[in-house]
Amino acid sequence: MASTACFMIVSKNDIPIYEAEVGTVPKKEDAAHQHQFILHAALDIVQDTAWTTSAMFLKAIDRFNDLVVSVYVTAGHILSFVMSDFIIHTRLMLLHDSRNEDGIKSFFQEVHELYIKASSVMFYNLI
Amino acid sequence: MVDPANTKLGRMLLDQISPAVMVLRTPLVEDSCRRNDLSLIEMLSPYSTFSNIDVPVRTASDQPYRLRKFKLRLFYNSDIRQRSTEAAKERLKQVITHAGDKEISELCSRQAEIESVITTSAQELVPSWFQNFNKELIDAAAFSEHEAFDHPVACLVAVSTKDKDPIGKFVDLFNTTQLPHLLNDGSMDPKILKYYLLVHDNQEGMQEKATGILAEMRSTFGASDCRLLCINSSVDGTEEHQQNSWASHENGASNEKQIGCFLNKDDVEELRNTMHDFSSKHIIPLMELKIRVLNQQVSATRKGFRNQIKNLWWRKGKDDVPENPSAPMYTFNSTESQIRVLGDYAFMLRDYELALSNYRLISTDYKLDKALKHYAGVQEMMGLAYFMLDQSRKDAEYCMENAFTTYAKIGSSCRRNVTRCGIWWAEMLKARDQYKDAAGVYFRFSGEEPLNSAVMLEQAAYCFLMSTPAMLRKYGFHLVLSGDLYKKCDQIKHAVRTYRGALSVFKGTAWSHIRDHVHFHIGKWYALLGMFDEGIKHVLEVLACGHQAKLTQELFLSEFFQIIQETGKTFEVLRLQLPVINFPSIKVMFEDHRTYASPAAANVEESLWQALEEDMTPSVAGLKSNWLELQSKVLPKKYKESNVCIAGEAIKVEVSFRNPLQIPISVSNVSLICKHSTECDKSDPASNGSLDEDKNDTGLRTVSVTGETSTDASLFDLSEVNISMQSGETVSVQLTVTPKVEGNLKLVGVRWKLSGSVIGICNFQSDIVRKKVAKGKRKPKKSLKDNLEFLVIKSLPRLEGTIHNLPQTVYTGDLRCLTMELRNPSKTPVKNLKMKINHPRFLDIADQEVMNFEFPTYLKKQAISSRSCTTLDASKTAKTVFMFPENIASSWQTPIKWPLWFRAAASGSISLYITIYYETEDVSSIIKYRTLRMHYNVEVLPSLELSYRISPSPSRLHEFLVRMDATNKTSSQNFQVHQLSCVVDQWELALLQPMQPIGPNLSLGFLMAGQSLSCFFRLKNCKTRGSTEDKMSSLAKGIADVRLVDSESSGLFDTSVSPFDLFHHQERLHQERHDKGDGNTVDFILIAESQDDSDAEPPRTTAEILSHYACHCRVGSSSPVWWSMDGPRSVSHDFSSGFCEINLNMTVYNSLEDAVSVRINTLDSLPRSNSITNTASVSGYEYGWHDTSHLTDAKVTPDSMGGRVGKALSPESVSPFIWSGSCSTRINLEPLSSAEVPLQISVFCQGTFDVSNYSLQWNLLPGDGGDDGNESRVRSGSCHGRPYHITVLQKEQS
Repeated sequence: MASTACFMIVSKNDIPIYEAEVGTVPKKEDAAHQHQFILHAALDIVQDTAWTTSAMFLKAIDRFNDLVVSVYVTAGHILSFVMSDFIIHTRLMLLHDSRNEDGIKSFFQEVHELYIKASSVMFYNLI
Repeated sequence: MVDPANTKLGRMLLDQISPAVMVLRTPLVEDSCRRNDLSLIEMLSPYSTFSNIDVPVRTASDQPYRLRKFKLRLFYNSDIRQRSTEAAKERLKQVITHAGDKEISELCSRQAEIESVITTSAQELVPSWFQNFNKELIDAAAFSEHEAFDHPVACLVAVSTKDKDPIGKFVDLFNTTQLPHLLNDGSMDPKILKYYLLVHDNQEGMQEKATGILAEMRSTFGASDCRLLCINSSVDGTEEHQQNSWASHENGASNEKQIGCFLNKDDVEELRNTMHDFSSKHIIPLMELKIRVLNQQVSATRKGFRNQIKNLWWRKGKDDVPENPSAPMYTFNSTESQIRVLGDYAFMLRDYELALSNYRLISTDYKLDKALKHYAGVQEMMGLAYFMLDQSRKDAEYCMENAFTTYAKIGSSCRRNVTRCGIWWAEMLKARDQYKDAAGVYFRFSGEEPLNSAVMLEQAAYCFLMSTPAMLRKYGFHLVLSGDLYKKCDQIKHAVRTYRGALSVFKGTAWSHIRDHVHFHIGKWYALLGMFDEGIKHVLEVLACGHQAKLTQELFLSEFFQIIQETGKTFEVLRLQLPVINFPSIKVMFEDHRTYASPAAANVEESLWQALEEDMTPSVAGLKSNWLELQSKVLPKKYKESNVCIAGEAIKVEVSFRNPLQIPISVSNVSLICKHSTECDKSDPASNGSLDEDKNDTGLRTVSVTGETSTDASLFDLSEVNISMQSGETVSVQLTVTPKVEGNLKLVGVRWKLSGSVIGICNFQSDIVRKKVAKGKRKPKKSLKDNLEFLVIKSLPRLEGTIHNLPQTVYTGDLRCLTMELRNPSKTPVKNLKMKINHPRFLDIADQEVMNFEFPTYLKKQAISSRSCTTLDASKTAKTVFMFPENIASSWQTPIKWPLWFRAAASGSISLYITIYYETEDVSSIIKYRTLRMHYNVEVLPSLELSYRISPSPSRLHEFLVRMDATNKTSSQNFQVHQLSCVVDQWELALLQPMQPIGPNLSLGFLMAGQSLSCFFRLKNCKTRGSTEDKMSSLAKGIADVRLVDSESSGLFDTSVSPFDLFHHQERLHQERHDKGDGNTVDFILIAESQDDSDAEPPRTTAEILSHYACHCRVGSSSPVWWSMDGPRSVSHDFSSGFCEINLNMTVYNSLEDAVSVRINTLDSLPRSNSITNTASVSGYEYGWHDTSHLTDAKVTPDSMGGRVGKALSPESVSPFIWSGSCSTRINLEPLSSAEVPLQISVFCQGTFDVSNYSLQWNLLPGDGGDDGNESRVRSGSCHGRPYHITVLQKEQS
């Protein structure tokens, strides 16, 4: 079954720093902006929710028709005194239509790990 | 929490859930009303709304309360039915279109900032027509049989006095079949209250007749239910009303006629009284009464435990009865209907408690009956009742949701109810500040009808905006969704409006697809509306969409051109994003006193040139020698900062354009925009017609196609370039402007035409300030901004120079004669020419007469005799600045040609900088002198790698062996080594062995690619004083050249003349060594010719000569005392006659400038090696035995040799020979003199012996030399003997 999945990493200032269409649905022209719209709008919900829960993985936080947005909020706001601006409150967002929660969660964790590794390269000199 | 009745929903309910009155009238009544441009209902309706009617009412349980606000809804009998779908749709469309037309003017207004949007109050922001639209939607669902509040409470029958038989008409009107189906099909009680109104038009006749009819009516229908209404009392129809109650009914068509113009004050008062009377005395009491009656009935049948049980039992049995969908499920006299009516009446009379209890009662019944529509209707009303009571919010919401889902479940027949319920629900949530939930509700019931959905989504968007905190992203997203739907319904104005709202959120966002989508669509729609300027502005934003797919890019671009085409004008666009200009790479190249021979020269860093020209140009301080002079004629102060350029000389600007798209674009007419002002018309800068910056901040303007480029043609020339760019390509364009007149020139920007339709303009100054880009490269301190203004001065001579035939790629050592050509295109002469070259090792100035000779043949020795021998002038080479002869500089009109020597001294990439200084004769000019800067890059490839090794000859004093190793490092080039010369006076060079040809075509010095060659030479010192060998070598000056080529025809080159000596001098300087020895060094010059085998290259006219220099090659050992052993090498002796005595002669030479004393010690012990060679010789090598280690031994330092000797000493071994005579000899040697010491050995058996077991010890004679101050020099030393082999053989007895 073809599935839609659009993955984005959004930095602190709502600037998308990474975007990838990872679904198996053949790419459509208008899908790109639609996915951006949905994910962008979901940031409002993330903004509301992220501070009310300690969970990093916010599953199915927003939906548009049959597309669901799941978000993984990095714990940067807790560790901000250690980490640089790069990592603070970055949101990994996935727009998907599948219900595989565990898969999505582990995907997020994996990406988060890689992301932290990538963005803390600069610390190697300091440590 | 505010009073629910004062909320928006409260007002809506008051307005929409209020008693309905059916109005029946004759056509004549309508005619009378039409005089005022009003229908009967329109005339009455303002007076059927009461803000404070103040009627006492009692609840069912006799609780008195006063009714304040009240409203009657009047409907004609024909309107009391549900509208058809089409009609409803049409009405909605009208409302929207009407609203869209109204707001068109706002579409052009400035974009609101999002900050201000947030702070604006909801009333201002949310379009007011939403209310009308929602009302239309709610009205569309009215008059359903399942709810009672739309059922007419009373009937108003109006008959005109003009009607014939008014009484009969009253009866007829009600009896006609035109009554609404609600009354006919039994959904409601047909026996309703009737109120008879006799309308009298005062224009038509006197009141007497009317009074008569009224009396008659009263007797027929009852006194209280009849009333006379007199209208149109005004005589001339010019009444004006202070408070126009009918303002809402005003429509544009009847502007010339005042509404209600025939109604005077009395009429209005009468209207008011009539309606008040009707409401307070008839309708309200009637409803009150009905509530009481119904309440009693309901109590009797349904309340109490018994009734409930009975009802439940009875309900169960009813399940089996098949439903008849055509007939109403519940007739007006069924208990269910009665309860419902009771509830609705109570609701309308604000007795919400009673209403709620009845709704609750009926709700379960309907549910049990599976009468879903009724059930939903009741749930809806329950929700509203909860809300009005301000009780349990949760229940209210639950009821509304329940109603909503139930309606939705029923399907398409209840779509309008879904909508109405949704609107109420959303309003309810909004009233409680649950905007986010309200938005969700709006979003839920959008969906079927695109137009409805669009409005609902827009309302949802505003809900997001008004929620706290404002959810701007959701706001934007929903506006965009709504805009798309509007567009689908051809409501472009609304679409544009919503997108404009969204733009305030998405402006400048980094989410590229979002930004592109919004800008592109809004731009497209603006163009559809004919607002091309706005459209173009938005589409421009998306042109540089490199991140989009190719198809999308094409779409954007074609749309853009289509809009442009539709306008039929040529637009000038400031900051056109296509192609993108790379600002940091913009370079301005201009020539003031610095001129450049080539663009490459202009790109060289200024500091490099300055360093080169440092001692050539007059310093700045020197220029300003006289401050008075300075004041009088040098730059006016304000121009001091600006750059100077010369009229007639082009200023070049290098701009690089990048095509961000994947599709090729064509850019034409790329040119600079310049502003020129001469000093006299400075006050009128506008006359130049160039870009006015203030005007262009709007970003877009129209120009005539012919443009304004021609206006400045007399002041400056501009170059135009056309380029076509492939996808993703970056093209660097050089644009020039050539000022023609003195004055001030300002580079304003660059202009280009995209695909022949749009002119793009980029303003350097503002854009650079905006982007804060420092230019930085050529002048780090000055930004590009400083390079944009020029002071144009009158024309000056400008030299042009080239060096002809300078090769791009050469091999190391390549020696050439080049010609430099200088040209002065102007008539004005120049003077004081000077030249400087940065690498004299590579490039040097030759004598002019060289031009007359043929290179390189004239350098050969035969040729030199025919001309005067020019030797190196040390003073000339010391000076780095070359002055051209005065006579040449002043008078030449034809190009001057001057020869230059070029030699590729080292491999690598070499940058040659040549600068030529000259002065102009025009003293009045600001610029006194100019420099011509030339820059060339030469790639030097390695050719021959040479190494020299010099070791003292073992056999001869003053002679050295030179081993030359040459390796051809190239991959394809062959070289013919031509000659080796040594330069310093005292040396003489010769081949060790005579040269023998190796093959038919190959001579000794021929080196194929990759080959290496070793040659041995003998080097002889001729400087020795008092030596006998002196005589034979002192014939020439001591310069020795060795030919390494076969053919006798090619003569030797004379290395003592220029250019060899010139470059030799440079090489000596370059290769200078720090560890100078005792001055015994020698310099070699190897001259080779390249032999080009490849056919591909054209044959060269002149042979290529390569010269390689090796300077400061160290000669000799470190010891200042040289010696050589002389004696027989082979002796035959008859050992039977005794031992053999061999006389040896040692020549000792003192190379120092001081006298030394030398002691020679002979040692009678043998090195071990001797015995080994001795045994070896026994095995048959009698003659011709050759010690191969000889050569290397010679090179071993004396120290290590001493070590070997010491180790070899063995007390047991018996020496085969002994030294005869004294074991130590001392001699004193004068400076640079030699002495001979006779030595003798005695040999006892045959064999080959190494006579090296001796040592020399020397020390300076004290007090002899005058330079004892140098304490660091070595004062004494010792050397061990060198191998000297003697073979002694048994003499054959003959």
